[in-house]
Amino acid sequence: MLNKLLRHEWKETWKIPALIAAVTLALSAACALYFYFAKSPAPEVELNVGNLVLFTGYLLFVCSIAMILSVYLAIRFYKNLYTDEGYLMHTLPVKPWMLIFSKTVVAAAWLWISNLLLLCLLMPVAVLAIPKLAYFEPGELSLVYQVFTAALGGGIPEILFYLFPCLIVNCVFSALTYYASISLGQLFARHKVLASILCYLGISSLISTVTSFFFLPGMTSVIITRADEAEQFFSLVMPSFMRSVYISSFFSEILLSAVLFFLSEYIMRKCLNLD
Amino acid sequence: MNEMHTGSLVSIRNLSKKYGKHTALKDVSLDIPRGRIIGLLGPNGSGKTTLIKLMNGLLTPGKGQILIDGNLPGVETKACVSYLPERTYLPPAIRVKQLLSYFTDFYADFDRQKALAMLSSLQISPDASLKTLSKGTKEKVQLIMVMSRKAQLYILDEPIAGVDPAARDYILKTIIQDYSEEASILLSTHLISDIEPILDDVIFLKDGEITLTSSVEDIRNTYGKSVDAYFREVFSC
Amino acid sequence: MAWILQSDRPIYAQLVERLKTEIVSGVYPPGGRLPSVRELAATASVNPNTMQKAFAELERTGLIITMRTSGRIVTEDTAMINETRRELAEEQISQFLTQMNNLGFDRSEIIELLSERKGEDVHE
Repeated sequence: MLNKLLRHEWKETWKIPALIAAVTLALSAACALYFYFAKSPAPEVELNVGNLVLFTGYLLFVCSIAMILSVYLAIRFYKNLYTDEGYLMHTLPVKPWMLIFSKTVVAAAWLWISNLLLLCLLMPVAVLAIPKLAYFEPGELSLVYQVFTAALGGGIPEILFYLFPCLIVNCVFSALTYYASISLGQLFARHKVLASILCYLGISSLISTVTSFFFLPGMTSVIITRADEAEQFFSLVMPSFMRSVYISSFFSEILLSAVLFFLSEYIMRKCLNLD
Repeated sequence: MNEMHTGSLVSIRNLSKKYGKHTALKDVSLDIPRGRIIGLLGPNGSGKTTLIKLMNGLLTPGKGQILIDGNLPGVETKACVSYLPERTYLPPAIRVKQLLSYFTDFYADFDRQKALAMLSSLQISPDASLKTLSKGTKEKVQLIMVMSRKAQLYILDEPIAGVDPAARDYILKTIIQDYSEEASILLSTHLISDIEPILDDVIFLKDGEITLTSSVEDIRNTYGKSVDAYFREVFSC
Repeated sequence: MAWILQSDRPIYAQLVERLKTEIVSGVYPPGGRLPSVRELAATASVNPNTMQKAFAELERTGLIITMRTSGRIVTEDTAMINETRRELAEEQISQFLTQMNNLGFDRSEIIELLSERKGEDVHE
């Protein structure tokens, strides 16, 4: 039954995310081509405003359609399980955990594809665009690469760790945050959608408060103890900091995902009340 | 059908359900034997749909218990109960034949050939997209899906309300001809006169309570009037 | 076409009458096969259990017979069929007489009225 649910969920969900991915891809290709052929600013030019607006616009656009994907996946879950379509889904001979599991797998897969695509496209576009925004000395440009690699944790193994296990867990966690919020919203007698949104804001701010409590001491200590390595900030300090962020969020997100999964499953099994 | 049936298909004991302060069902006990067609009758807001949704596991009971073929509502009961809600539950963006494969995949008792035959006698193309169909046609498609299962229990919530008379006749005939002798049909309606001749028994529901369970023939014998006329008298509407 | 049923009497009794009429009028000839309960219930748009009960009643009186292999058939006993035909006629006449009484006709007036119509044999 689980594989059938997965297959149907995929078949019913792929169109919008694929469209979003295609638009992101096409737009990135167009931007990359433009910046590749655009003229580099002369040394005396402070800023090429036109190019800057274009680049910022591109960033905003691809990030917001990535957010549309999240919204789409959340609405799909809500509509499919908690509105009229729920009459079909909840009378299939399957257990509630299978419904949540299949939807989590498909949503996490799309979120991961979208994030990966974004990372893989933003980097080359940025690398092509940044020299065309203003005049940079050759040394300054290498800093751009350093920032990217540092943000992803430093070397190749760290980047692979980030892109695969870490990012996958993060996508599962995001999907389950939406699903648990929507399920919590169902416990309210009225205004269930509004309640879901408030639950989402509640859960995400709770989690970010708690995590910043954990991260703040670590971050401060990194900055204090390694202040003397300031000139090596991007080659040593930031990568090591990001590594610790990724590892700790990897484990805490696994834990939180399990909690959110069982919370959604419990609500669906014990407190289902379709309107 | 008032006596205790050890072999009841459905056994409901002291079932209550509240929405906030409003009591939708109050201490309902009921047995449904096999091989019967039962009408669940009552005015709007009497708790018909609440009872049906509870039987399908779409609501959590407040108090009491429902057993269908010995099981609480869950995977086992969903595999043997074929349910037609009073609303359209079909996802809009799919075609009729995708719906057929959906039912074939999830319900072991779904008879695809029978569904195709019924679709063609009502002139509905399997290639049609659901969003292009009229509301009435969508209801027909949904009813065909539900009646094409070899289920133990069919629960039909207002199955004929939105369907034209010709299709209604066809659908009633299909119900009569095709359900297995071991199976029962529970159908809720306010259009009693149309379906009265096909019913064995009726359950009257008023303000969340069962006010009468009787066979159709008993009502006609005792009161010398149809269930429809008797219903109008009891509920004075 | 669904059978037209009266709303003030048990459906079962109406089915028995209707089936008897169809047998005596030759819709189902002596020795002829009857449709299954399900088929007939579907045609009439009535509950199969009620149709079953009507069949059982006709079986009890001997008008129809259940064969082990070929379903149900109408009896070949034409005397019994004629007897049934006679019974149905008697019922119609009693009803008719009651109605006429209500209109204030006595027996001799009724017979007089009927004899005026003697020549016209109505064929449907």
